Amino acid sequence: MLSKLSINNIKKSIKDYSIYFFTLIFAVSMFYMFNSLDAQNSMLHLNKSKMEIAAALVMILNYVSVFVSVILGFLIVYSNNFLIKRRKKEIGLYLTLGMSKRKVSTILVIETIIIGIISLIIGLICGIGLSQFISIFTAKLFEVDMNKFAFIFSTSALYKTIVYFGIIFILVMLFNIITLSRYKLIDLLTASRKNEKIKMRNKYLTFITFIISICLIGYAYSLLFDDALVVMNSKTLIMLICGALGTLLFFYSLAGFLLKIVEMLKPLYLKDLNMFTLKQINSKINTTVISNTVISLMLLLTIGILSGSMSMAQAFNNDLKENNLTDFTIRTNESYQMDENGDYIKLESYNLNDLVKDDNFKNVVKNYVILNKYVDQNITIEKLLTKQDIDELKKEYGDMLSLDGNVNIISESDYIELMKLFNEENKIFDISDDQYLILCNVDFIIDHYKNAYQNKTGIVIDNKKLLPATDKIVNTAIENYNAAGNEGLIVVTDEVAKNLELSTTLMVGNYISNMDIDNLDETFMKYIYDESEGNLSIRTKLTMEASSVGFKAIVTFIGLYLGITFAISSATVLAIGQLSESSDNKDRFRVIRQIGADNKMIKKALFVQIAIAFMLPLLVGLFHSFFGLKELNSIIGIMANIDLTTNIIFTTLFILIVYGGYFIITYLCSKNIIKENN
Amino acid sequence: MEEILKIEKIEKYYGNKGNITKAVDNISFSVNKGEFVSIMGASGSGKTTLLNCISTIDKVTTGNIYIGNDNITKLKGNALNKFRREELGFIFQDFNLLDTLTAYENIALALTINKEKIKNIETKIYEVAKELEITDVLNKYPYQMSGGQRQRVASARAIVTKPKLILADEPTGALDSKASRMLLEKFVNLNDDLKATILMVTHDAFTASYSDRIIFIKDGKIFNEISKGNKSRKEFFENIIEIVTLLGGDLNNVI
Repeated sequence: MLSKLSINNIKKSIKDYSIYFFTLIFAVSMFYMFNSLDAQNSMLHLNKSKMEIAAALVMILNYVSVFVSVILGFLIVYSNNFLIKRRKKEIGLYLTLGMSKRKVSTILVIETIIIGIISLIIGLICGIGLSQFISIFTAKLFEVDMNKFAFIFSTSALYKTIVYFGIIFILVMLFNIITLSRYKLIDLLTASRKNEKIKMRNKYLTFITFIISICLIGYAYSLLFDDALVVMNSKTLIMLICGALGTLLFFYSLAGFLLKIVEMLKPLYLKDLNMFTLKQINSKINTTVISNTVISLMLLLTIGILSGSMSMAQAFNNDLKENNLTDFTIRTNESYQMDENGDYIKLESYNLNDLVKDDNFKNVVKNYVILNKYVDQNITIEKLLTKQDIDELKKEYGDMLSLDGNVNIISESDYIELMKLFNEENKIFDISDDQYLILCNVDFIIDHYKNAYQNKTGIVIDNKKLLPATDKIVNTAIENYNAAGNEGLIVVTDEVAKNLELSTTLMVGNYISNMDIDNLDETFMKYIYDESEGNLSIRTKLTMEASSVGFKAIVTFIGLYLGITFAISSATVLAIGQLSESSDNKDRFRVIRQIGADNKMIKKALFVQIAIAFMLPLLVGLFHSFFGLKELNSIIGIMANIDLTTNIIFTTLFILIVYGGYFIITYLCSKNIIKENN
Repeated sequence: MEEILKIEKIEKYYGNKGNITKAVDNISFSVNKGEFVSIMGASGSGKTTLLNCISTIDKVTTGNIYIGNDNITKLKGNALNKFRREELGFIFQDFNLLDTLTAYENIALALTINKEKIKNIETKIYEVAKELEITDVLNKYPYQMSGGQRQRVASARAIVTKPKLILADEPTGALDSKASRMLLEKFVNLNDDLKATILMVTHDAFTASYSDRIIFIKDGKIFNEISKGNKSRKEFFENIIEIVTLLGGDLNNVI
């Protein structure tokens, strides 16, 4: 009997529940999709280093899933609570008819079970379907070809989804039972008749609050641009608190403030239903300050995570080829020992010239260059820049950038050999004893070096004044690296170099090309380590590729996972909030209809009302993220040159689709609720 | 005398073949300009259905209703909405004020929906507010007002657009006797001073005694009709009670 009642209830309110259902299905399918990655990986033919990274990705996603399930749990419990509140009258009726609270609880539990099972089944079917598409995306991320289509199904993801959502649904049931036990019959029956008091705030207080909120947000921004995001100390915390509090106060005062302004614009205020719409929004904003704040901050997180992760993924993948001109780089590790006086003395390191005589080396290496890096304690990056450029850089990057590190110096003959090894003979420039050259491939600093070139101030090395040999900076990588890593390297003639202090030596080289690179790479790395007893470190093109691909995959997946979670959470909270108001709205719109407003006016009023409710937190979130992204990109910009526009377009599109979708559903549902049933 | 409302043989049926309920059964009457007419009847007598048909909220099964020169049974869609907002004013038992708007704004909304010129809005509102003695509550919200004040604000909203006909559905139903008396005196004033035509539905003899003419309805048909003429209100009230007694046990709600 009770289950029949439950089923009928669900059938009856399926339209009101649609947003809730939609969110549940979305959440389940997303959860399955991101957890089915282990099955996807096994389908792809990954080499060993990529396989390791894929395993790491799966593990990280496992941790993120726990976090995501907590957020989704909160979201589902919250939405469900709203829906239960809407049914106060119905529950009151059951109780007056003599049903015990236990029986009513049973009805609610059965409803939750049915809704849970249905949404799990549909969500899992959608998830399994979508994960087929995701596998194409995964293959692309790992830079492997999907040679044949294979149906992907992850049993572990299936179980995991069922267990996690099972727990969430059990929580929902518990919350329902608790809520129910707290209700008093009289409150349930008179629920709809209670008039909410409209709090009117003192206009001067509102104005002052508004000013304070603007100041707080402004202060948070100023901290942001003062590297609060980089240093991660109390400054960061102050920034976050000021930003959040400022946003809260902003929403607290905004409604009253806007209302006063619009009230003064009589032609706008006294047109059609504008007055009503505005007061509707005003009355709601008073009660939704906190949810608006949370939503706008969640949107900030969504936008930040999505475009930040994309920028980072790009930064590490963009110029992988340009930064790996050879197959491997071997460096001598510098080791020091403390002597009796407490001074550090450099230990004799493994000599690279010994290595090249070894047969094991000769058999696999086609060509190589040993590069001696010298150092002059007076030469720092600052010395290569004009005063104006230093100020400019400091202003833009602040503490993130240290300009007082030593710049390494190499000899002309090493430079020429290196360029020949890279097949970049066109990058060879002649220099004489009173000249120098700069090699660099970090975009943000190249132009600043150029400015110093043009000023021809020159530098002093070993008491000799040197001038630039050309007006060009030689744009080239030196070592294998997964991002542009050559911040600057000075080239001087052998004559000048020979008097300088040797800092490090390194070797770059290529394997003999007709060998099986995948296997060779691994044995060669092991050989170098064993041969030098750990005194040499090696980086190869293949490991750089794998780490770059892996990093990109990890960042992209986590970004998407969290981004989607936050986006649907914020949109759902908004949509549910709007819909739960619709029973109040129903009465109000009935009155409006009775005093003669036509359907067109009413639809417009409803549309504007919901649009503003959706737009307000979005605008604030966008505003915050505009500044946040600006700072984020200048941080990432140090690492690599990135195309910001595509990221922003993608993120905006994503938000528009998720948010817009929820907006349209909310509007249609609300329209349905206020419709007069003739 | 100009006829504002003319009802010709209207009928309203509910239900399907074999099980028809005649809520309104062949009713005809008319209301002249400047009249204050009450319709009395017990619960289920069909008086609310009749009012719903006149107010275009419901459709008649047969018959014609003319308001001014328009046959409202022939109006559809937006023409109906336009007619409703320009020619009719409504007053309800439960006031139906918007809780988010102040009294002033509640009244102003009726004007803005009618696309009234902005410069006229304020003067019009103060004019009716003065008449209904609600000037001092104009800036209050409904929850800050007494029931009587709310109903007078609702009346101001109904009258401010100068409709041809004001329809009041049990306007004193939710008011205590003091507030009822005050409201009804205002109705009489609106009727006398502003020449408003009022059609009121009530089951309360005391409320009805304020009107000029009363139409009694029983089981969907007109049962009787009396006019106040030159009688005092007390005499008229006694007349009403007599008819109510005739009407039968249902309507024993006297004072």
